[in-house]
Amino acid sequence: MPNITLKNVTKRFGDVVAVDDFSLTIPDGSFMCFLGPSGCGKTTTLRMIAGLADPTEGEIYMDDRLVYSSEQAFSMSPKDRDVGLIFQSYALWPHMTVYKNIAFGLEMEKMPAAKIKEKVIEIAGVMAIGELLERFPAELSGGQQQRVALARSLAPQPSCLLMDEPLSNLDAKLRVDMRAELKRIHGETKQTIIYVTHDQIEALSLGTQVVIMHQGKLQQLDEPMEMYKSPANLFVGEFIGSPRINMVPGEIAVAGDQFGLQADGVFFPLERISGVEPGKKVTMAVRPEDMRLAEPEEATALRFTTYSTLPTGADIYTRVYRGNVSFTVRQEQRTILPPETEVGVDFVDEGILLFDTESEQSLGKTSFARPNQGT
Amino acid sequence: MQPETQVTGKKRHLFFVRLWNTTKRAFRNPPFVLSILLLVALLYLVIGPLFTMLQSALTLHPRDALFVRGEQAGQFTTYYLVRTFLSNMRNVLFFQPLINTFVVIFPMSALALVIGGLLAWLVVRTDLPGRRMIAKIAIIPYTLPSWTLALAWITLFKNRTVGGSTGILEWLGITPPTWLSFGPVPIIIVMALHYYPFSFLLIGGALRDIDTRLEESARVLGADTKVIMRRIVFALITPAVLSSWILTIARGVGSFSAPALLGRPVNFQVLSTRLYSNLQTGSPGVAYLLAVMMILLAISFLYLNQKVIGTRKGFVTITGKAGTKSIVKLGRLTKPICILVYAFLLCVVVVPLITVAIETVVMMPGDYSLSNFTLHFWVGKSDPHILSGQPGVLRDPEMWKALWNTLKLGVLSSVFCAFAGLLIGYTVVRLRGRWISKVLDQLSFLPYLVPSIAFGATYLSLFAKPRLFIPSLYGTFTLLVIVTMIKNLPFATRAGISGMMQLGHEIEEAGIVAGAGWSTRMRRLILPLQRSSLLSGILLPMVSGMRELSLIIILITPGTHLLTSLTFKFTDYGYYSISNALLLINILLVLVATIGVQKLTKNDLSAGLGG
Repeated sequence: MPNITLKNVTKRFGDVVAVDDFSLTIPDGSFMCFLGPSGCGKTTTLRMIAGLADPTEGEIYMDDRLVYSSEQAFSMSPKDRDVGLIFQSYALWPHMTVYKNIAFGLEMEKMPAAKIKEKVIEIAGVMAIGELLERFPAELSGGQQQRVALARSLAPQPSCLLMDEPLSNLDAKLRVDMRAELKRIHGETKQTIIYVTHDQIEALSLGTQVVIMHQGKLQQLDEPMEMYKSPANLFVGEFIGSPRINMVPGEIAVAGDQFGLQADGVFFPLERISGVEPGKKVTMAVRPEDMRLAEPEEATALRFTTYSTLPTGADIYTRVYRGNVSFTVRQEQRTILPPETEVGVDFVDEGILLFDTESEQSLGKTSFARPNQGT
Repeated sequence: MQPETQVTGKKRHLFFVRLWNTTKRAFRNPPFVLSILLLVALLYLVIGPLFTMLQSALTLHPRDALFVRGEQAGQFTTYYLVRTFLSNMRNVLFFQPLINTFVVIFPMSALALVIGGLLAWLVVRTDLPGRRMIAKIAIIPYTLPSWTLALAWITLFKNRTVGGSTGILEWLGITPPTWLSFGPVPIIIVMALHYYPFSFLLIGGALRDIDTRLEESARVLGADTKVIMRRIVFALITPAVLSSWILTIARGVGSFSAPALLGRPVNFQVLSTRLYSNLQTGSPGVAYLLAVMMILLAISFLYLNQKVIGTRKGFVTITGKAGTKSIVKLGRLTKPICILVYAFLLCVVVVPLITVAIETVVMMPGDYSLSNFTLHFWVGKSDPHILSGQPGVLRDPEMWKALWNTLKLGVLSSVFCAFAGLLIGYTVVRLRGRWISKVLDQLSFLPYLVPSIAFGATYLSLFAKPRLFIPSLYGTFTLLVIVTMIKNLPFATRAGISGMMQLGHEIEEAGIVAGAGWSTRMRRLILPLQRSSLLSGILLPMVSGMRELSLIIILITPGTHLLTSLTFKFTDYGYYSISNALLLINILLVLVATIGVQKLTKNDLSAGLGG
């Protein structure tokens, strides 16, 4: 099974650049998630790997096999690329039974009928759709259609399985079940999977690796939890995480001898971080769970006022403000505070991310310099 | 693995590698190859005839070379231009027919609009009893040959002025005034009664498809049904109303049969009849120029239509959602309106058919008493004393041949047309965004802009003599099939495009990834899924192919008669009993074919109107 390599791939539609100088290697056996907002070029990239769209520039390899080269005007036909593709709409052929849908790809390989039957029944068993083989797609539920689509793509045993938002047409509960199932299938088959989604939870929970794309450009390639903990830039930080990461723009300053961030009316004392000098415009970003609410009298905390409280069941998120600075904080106590209550706000160590406001790139992590511990 | 992948470096090599790979990819991408073939075919069959017609209008005909000094046959000439537009013949040849055309089409289209619009509103937006049946009956006049009403009119109203036999009214002792027997008034009425179903379907569709949420919003804000009708419903369908009006005008320009039957006896000529008689009298140059003028006229009306509704297609596409439509309760008016509507439908459907039928069994023309009834014109043997020995239609081999030809023409042209429409739809949708897609789309729509009789004229100019390797097809049945197919192509292409749009591209892409080649994808994925749209795309062209006269009248030769052209021929002879019998056979054929296809495809023109 191959590594898939994209080298400087660019796709333009007229003046619109859908994918911009994109390079990436997808290791054999990985579950690679392409994550990004709609229109970021992730589906286009997937289609270029499948051979359904040709890049404007660049090269694509599967192992050392060239499958696309703009320089040589060479494009291997999709059927020779040995990939399977699952569409968001499933694209099941409505005039064929489930059996015929699954058998189609095998027929194209000129497999003898007896063998086809054997394989279809086998894969249908794995996907738990053995009872449905004589039904038509219109007679199936969304989840069943999804399984049929999966079975249809897996039957010819492609070396790589491409999925384009395969779960987005399912209801919330089914989606969670199917995620677990997909992860299990990947664990068992070690099949290379490239998975396109705009759902960060899906990407983080499924992928062995996640690629974040924005405006056709690769933003970050990382393991899911790394991506969450250390976003490479503001876009990634903001895109991943729910509720969204808190962002406070400001300027690095030194008050007295305390290093910190001067935001709109609030000074945040911070541990020094190398390469970040006073006067630099930075954006401070803190995840809601990297903050905690404290008693307002607590000397180590900053004083804020509650604005509103949003319980989500498992967690309670409280929005606090001071001047024009506001935060969403995940609360540890299970009491719901009324609005306009005075509270203290404290930060988890190494929980504060700094980004260059101008270039939006990460400057590193730092901690809150608590007043009574300050040096 | 691929030899071309190992080529590196050398630029010279690279060029050939690129060329080789590009060619391979082009041929692996059948929509591309297909689009080139379709482009060539459409250029030849749509643009070609227009071009040769213009060319013929500016080239001196051998017959006219005798009259024109200093010019030689086959050379460029302004003779026809001068003759048509400047000479002292200009009024007879062009200006009077132009004025007459306007005199006919404006009142005709207004009348058709009022009838069609009122019926549509009654059927879709009131609680009139029997709406579904009314909807079905109301569109019958459009599926009948366009001269059915004209022939019935003659049978009823023909008076003594033009000589020959007289109609039923004269027999009853009432002499209708000549303006009611022949000329613009009967032409306007007869054409309006033929074309109103067009407004009925368009306006009815718009009334039905209005998003009911728009009405519900108004109702929630406190508007009653009357206000909703006036301020929301009528306002929303205004584009559809205007559009159906303009489209009726545009169609009226090319209409031939009613003016030919009801206008020519009193020398009331419109552009289409003038064009026809110029061809008959061997003056194609002038005829071609008239055709050009008709095309320009029709195009300007359709351009106006595009300006009015902002889309060329003339359909109001408001996606319908189930909801509560505002339905007007007719209350005390129910009975009178019911009677009025049923009487109207009786007059435009039943009375003409009975009238036509009566004419076929009358031995001595003009005498409608029972003792004069005969079946001679149906089953009689040739008798030299009756109509110069013309046998009854069922005994006439020419009729059987024409019947067979008509059936063949309807089936062949519609099947080819539907397939061509599907192929064009496929390429247009697959290559969306490229210039060739747009060009194919517009080329295939072009025949819609050309009035039928003018379209026939362009084909006459293209196929009158052999060109390049293509033989002269004039006088062959093949030519009739081609011209009917191309004329109906706009409808088939629209159907093909919308069918492919609905199908989406993923269904085919799933096949590509599964490793199916193009022909397999077509055969096993696309065609089976387009079957119903293909079959329903056949119905309309087939019916119109079986009752078409304007389009083919100037391409017909004695060897290729159809029921329609034969009917016209016998009407010209004044053999009304024969022509009416042929008409009935034609109607029966269309009816059987329509019901057959509807049974086969479960497709109904009036579907959904009248709940």
